[in-house]
Amino acid sequence: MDGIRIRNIRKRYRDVQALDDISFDVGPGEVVALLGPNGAGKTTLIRILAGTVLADSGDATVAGHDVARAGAAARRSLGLMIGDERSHYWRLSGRRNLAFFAALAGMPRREGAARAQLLLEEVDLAQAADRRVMSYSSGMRARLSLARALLANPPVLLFDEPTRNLDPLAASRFRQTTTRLAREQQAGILFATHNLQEAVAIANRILVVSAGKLVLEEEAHGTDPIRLEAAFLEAVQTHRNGDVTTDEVLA
Amino acid sequence: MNVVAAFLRRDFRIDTSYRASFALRSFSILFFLALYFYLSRIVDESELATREHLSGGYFGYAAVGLALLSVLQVGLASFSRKLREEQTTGTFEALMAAPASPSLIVLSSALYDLIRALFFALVMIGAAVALFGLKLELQPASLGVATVTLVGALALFAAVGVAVAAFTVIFKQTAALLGMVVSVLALLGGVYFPISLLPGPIEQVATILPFTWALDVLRASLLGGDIRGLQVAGLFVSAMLLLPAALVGFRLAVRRAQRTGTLAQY
Repeated sequence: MDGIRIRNIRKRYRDVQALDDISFDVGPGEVVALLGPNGAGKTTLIRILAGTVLADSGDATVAGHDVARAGAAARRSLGLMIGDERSHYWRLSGRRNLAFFAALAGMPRREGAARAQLLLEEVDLAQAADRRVMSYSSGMRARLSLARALLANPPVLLFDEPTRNLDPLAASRFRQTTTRLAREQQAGILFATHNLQEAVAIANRILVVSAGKLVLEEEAHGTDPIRLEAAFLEAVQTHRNGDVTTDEVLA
Repeated sequence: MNVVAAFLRRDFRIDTSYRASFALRSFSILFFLALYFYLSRIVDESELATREHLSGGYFGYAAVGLALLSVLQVGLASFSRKLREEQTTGTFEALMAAPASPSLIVLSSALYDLIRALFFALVMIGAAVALFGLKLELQPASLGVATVTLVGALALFAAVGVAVAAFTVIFKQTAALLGMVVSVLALLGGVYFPISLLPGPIEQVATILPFTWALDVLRASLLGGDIRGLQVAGLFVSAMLLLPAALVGFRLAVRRAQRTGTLAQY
């Protein structure tokens, strides 16, 4: 299938079960929020899909390509946006950063330059395109990360805490862009966050992970926000303390 | 080629964004040469002449040795240094998530440094000739042999460098290992003195090192000694065997780091 398909993924780091039998799909044009506290396994899952971590067992495909066995094809079909704002070359301009990653994505130089220009305009960085990234604000770096993820116009996008360093206005613009990408380009988008409001605002579906387990899967639209928040808090409590039920949290 | 060119452009731009580095590097070469030029005045040249049948005296001997050692140092260190830079600056994960193969990424990432090291090695030898009066064998044949030897040496150093990079992927900190390898090769390869001065068994080890062959041939071609074809052939055979093995080792190291989840850690 297009989009993302994950079946029975398990990953263990020494004595920590980072992911425990996780299965779900993200279809084309769908925005799925991966919600969970720190250490729940969100980033591990994103890294498995991006090919930088190998699962112990289970299958994961991106646009029909197995991430472990056909890694290059899978990586060609996805755009990764990491919340870490250091993931650019700070002594190069935004334009040259994009041109470099366009070449890595297999684009000829002229095509890469044209695509970079288009995306710089799209993320509102055209005015700052030739400034070094070291002079960018956190919000500008996040927008540059988004432009980089979109370089190859991939059918699948992975966002790992994309609004972590953004001010409210920039975060709001990012959410609009995400919704537009899913609607207009039919991109399947999986984004990891611990911001419940953000997840409800833009996702079609919300998955809550805690201690490596998928503890809740809900359609975002029409979901009772109080129940969703309670489930999320339960996940946080379970992760930290052991055993608190949704009913107890609701009470 | 597109990926390789992109890495070269990236590293050239980053390198030239540090404006003083080129001038500082050139000055350090001059000071280094001056050091060995004056040191050569207290070296017993007749002792050297009985052991090595080369022109240029101790200064010429050391200048060619130092030039190749500088390329060796960069060749060994640049792959792991670049990798570690990417890890610590936070760009490594973005690179590894790109569709290009990890082997191509690691090879391309050190190419600019290797070309720059080669350029500065030529600057060093040029400065030894122009400023310190070193006489070189500048016939086309000897220059051709020197060029071929440098290409073989670069491939060999790249092989060892990629192997060190594989260690960096797994153990992260390999500066101590690199320092030791460079010191051992400088000692056994005959950078500063003829290996015939070493104790018998150690000299025998030194004579079977491809680095020693590269240095012997380079000195012989530039300073008028006997060029041994077997050493040139041995250099290329070693590089051809070691480079693919090192790349396989690097791929295995990346796979291991992907399994342990430590690929982007430093």
